[in-house]
Amino acid sequence: MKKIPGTMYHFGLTNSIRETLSINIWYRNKIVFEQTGIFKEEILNIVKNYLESKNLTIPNNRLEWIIKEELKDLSPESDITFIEGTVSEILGEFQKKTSEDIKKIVLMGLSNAGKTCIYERVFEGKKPWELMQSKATKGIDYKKYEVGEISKPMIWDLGGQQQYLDEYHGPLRKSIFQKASVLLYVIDASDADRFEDAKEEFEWAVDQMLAFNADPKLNVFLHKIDLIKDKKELLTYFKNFLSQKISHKINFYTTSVFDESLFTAWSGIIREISPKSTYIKSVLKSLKDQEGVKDVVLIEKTSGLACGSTLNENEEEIVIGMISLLIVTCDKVTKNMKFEDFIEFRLKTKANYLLITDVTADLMLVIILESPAFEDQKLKEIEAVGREVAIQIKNLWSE
Amino acid sequence: MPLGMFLLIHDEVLGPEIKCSYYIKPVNLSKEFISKLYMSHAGFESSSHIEIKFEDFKSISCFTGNLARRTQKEGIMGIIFEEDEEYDNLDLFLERHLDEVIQNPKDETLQEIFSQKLPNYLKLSNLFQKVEIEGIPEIFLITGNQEFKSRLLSISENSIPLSKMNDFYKKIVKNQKIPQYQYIELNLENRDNSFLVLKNKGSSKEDDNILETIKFYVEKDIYYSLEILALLLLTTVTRITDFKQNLSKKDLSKTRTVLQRLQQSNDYYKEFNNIILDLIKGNIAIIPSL
Repeated sequence: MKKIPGTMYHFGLTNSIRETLSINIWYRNKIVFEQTGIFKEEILNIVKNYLESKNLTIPNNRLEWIIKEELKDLSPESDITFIEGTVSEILGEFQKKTSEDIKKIVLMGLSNAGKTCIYERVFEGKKPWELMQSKATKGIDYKKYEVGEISKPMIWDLGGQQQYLDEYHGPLRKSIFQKASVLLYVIDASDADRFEDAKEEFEWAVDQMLAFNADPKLNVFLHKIDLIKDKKELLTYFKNFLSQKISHKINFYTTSVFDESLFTAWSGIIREISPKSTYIKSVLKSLKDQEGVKDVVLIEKTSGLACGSTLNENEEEIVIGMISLLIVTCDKVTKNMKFEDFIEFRLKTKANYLLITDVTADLMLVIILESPAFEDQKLKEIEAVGREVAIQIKNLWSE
Repeated sequence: MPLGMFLLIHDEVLGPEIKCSYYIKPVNLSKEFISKLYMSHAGFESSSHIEIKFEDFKSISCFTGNLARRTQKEGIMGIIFEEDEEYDNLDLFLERHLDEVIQNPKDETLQEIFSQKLPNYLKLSNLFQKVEIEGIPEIFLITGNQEFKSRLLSISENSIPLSKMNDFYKKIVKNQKIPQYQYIELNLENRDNSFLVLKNKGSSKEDDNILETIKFYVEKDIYYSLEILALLLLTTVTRITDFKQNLSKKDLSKTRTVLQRLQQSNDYYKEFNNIILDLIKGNIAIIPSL
């Protein structure tokens, strides 16, 4: 048992079942909090949350120290055998390449919510009518993707059948939620009968995300929104409905496989987990600051996701929609013409001027000009800055 | 003939992935199979040893469990067979080589185990199916916690069906008498509730002696139980083969059985212990002399 610095509380750990621990918190020799079945990684957040509920804020490093001490008492280092130590070390070596750039996204939801279709639509380029053949996910499907080297999501697509949910709540809980950066919870907006079930499962998933991770990003997709008449009303309802017990920030998106909403939502998530986002944003802004440039968007060629943008959300959705159409159109025009092979593309109307230039093998820069009336010299200057920006972005991966 | 071996590592971010493998025939371990295998080992079944059928193949694998708890990484090592092939007693073989592969996770390591060590082990295991051991119709090693978990090794003509094993195991844990059977608890590191069981045919005192003798050696290294049983019970039909070329030609004569070698030594027990030691060091293997 250890005293929690600056408080009248004491904290202790004991071994529990299946390699888990039990936490006890005492106040003046009386147990005021106890929880069993805890993994090591959860302890800090649980103790911290309890103390915060009592309006006490203890610096993380102090809490970490007493937890470490308590764990040491529970399982002295000498108890770890040579083999365990060696194996751990070597297994650690295996995964050194699991760079911090790769971010784990837990894709969850009840059965038939559309989780796998969402993935297939965005990352496998399937058309809505092709998604009819998607099958229910058996257990966990692990999907790795690289969004133009901007972001490397590792998506854990969790089958939503009840038999699997039981496994997630049981022995697989730790392996699913530890080191997860993003929770992406999908709700079938048309399945009102199961809203309560979805809420319960969501709240549980959020608890796990918060217990195992320091600052997870929580996202809800209200999916199949094309089947709903009043989208805004439903969105407002869900914002209240799901936030009742959760104080952590939740991002809500209304999505459908039939429009660009999914791409917009994923673009936001991809940028949120990319370690390069801030830099890209500032580079794109330097291009936007050029006279005559209205906005700039950095697009991944295969998926059409916006990896960086100076546009607001609504305007961005329009550009993403346009690129998405362009990808499909190119595919249909001729077999040899692929959007990802574009070196340059210019679209000039009486009112608009749009330049699309190649950046890397995976990325394209969309430059939206303020007016179509430009002198050649001015246009060349903008293009030169665009090329400079492209080089800067390209250099991000060669460093 | 088995088709190959693999090592799977579970990473907290990347999920389960094949780290290294060796096959003598093209085998595709699909993503679905890998996911199912991991879930079966780490999920509710929580079994250290699992047999799974997929496509035209079958996989027998063992799980590291919490071996790598510091890094939260877990490993699974498995052998792939044709669907209709049956092999017994592979659990201990997999366990004893798991650490070797984890320390040197390369395709070559698996190739060496698969090509050199596994065939010898299978030959010896098959020998137990063919040869009747006088006075011992059944002998096996079992382990569990409150419930029966695994039959680590089994040598018998008609073994107790797995469906009845839990009741059998519970009687042993409660130290109840079981007609026709005698058992003894093994003191093994990191493996509580492990028992050596013998179906008796002879006198119970003689059976006690057999159990005590086997226990003494098996406790030295549980992973080599099959070979130890062969050395103790099948000395006339087994011989020694060398892995590291450090035994003299005389020792390796194909005609010499383990029994002959023991009888010709000056100190029977010292020689026996030397063989066990060489076996555990991985210098030699015990194979049928037939």
